[in-house]
Amino acid sequence: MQRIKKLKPDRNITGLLPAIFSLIAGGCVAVIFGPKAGIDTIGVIILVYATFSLIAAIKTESIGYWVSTIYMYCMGTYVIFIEFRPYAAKKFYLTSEAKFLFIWVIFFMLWLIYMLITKRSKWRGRDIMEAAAQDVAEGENTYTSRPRPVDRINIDKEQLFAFAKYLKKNLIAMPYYDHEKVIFVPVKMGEEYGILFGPNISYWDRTWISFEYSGDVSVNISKDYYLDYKEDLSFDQLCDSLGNLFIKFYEHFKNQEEVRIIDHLNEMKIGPFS
Amino acid sequence: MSEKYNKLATFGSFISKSYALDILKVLYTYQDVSASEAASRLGLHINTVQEFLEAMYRSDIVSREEVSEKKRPYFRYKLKSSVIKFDLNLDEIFRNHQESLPTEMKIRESKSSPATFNRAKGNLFFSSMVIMIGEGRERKEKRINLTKTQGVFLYNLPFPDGQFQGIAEIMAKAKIKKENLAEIMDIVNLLLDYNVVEKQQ
Repeated sequence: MQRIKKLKPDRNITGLLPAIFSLIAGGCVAVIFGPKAGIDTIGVIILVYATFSLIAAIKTESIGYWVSTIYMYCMGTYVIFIEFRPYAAKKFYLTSEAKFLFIWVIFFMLWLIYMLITKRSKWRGRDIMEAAAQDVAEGENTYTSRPRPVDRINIDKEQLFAFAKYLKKNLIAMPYYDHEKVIFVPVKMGEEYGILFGPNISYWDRTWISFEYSGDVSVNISKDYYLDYKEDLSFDQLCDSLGNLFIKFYEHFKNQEEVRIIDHLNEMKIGPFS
Repeated sequence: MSEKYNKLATFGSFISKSYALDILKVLYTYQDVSASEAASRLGLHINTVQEFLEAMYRSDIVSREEVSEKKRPYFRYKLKSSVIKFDLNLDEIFRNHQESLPTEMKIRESKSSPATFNRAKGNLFFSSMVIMIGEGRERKEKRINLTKTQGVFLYNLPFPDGQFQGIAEIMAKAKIKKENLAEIMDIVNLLLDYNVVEKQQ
């Protein structure tokens, strides 16, 4: 059965900005200093991106980021090793190093495409918000900036930490820890740069799900996340649903049924770049 | 308000006068004294002294006796005791009020509530709230600093489209003790006045 999507279509192009920027920068340098300088610039920019991707891989331990990092290091080095021969018939010449790297570029690119198709390198913020809204009725003027206590459950601290690590590794939510609780912040595609590289993330103003070690589960939905739905949804139901979704994920994790979490999110049919 | 409180309030407002101790000294020194005698002794206006002595009489500090001595009747005032003691039992004043608090009242946050809630840093309760009062250029902010108990209570307040809940029910959910009911009712009544909270009809 076709699900009716409750979120507005995603027209965010933040994810494409790095690629657009590197092409424009490379093009500008090529015009001023020549084609070799242009492709070298693109190569260096890709290496810089690869370093950011490495930081993300270390922070999240996500396999998607590791593959992306290696792919970009290979790609950046490969581009730099390409020689430009202005008087030859074939102006861009692949050196032996470039040919060697090209094999790895293809290998990691295919792996990365596989990761993209299977949504393993995708932040799941939109999937989560879509899943939370599935059975929520409409309700006007119901938004409030207050967080909502959802339920009280039995929590094992060690298990909660393992759950947090799992959600981070699978890019489902970014966990933040303090002496009383773990806060899970869902991240939509395009928002990850601020979360991963921004200084002093103010996660309290974002959408979050808090699991206190005492067992209390609370939810906060930010206004911009709420306005991302096509209709005004019943806010009470939406917060309750989001909290219970994470409680369900925690139960799946406890029962070693992690695949059910991924299956549930995949059922939302949100695109790999959205 | 209780009679005892009224007496204390009267005493309090007069004991702070600059001449209070002088008049008390006269009362302490003399067996009994009239307003005109005390006024002439201290060089004060008779009305000032009369007003003070009457206040002391109303506060139960002095007794008075009407005398005439073949002239127009007047009062002579006598200190009841050289030790002035007051005790004010707030339980007596407020207990009845607390016992009649409507804990069965069911409430939730109002739709389009004019309030924003500020969470205590790093904690899951509110430390303060800001209510917008008035319209247009007359619009003002009223900031209310909350006790931790009130902050926890408001954190558990049902949402604008949530089910109405009784005050006792919310307190139980928020693990708030019954002793804190009065301060909870105080904030609830205030928020009802400002339309931040609505009650089930």
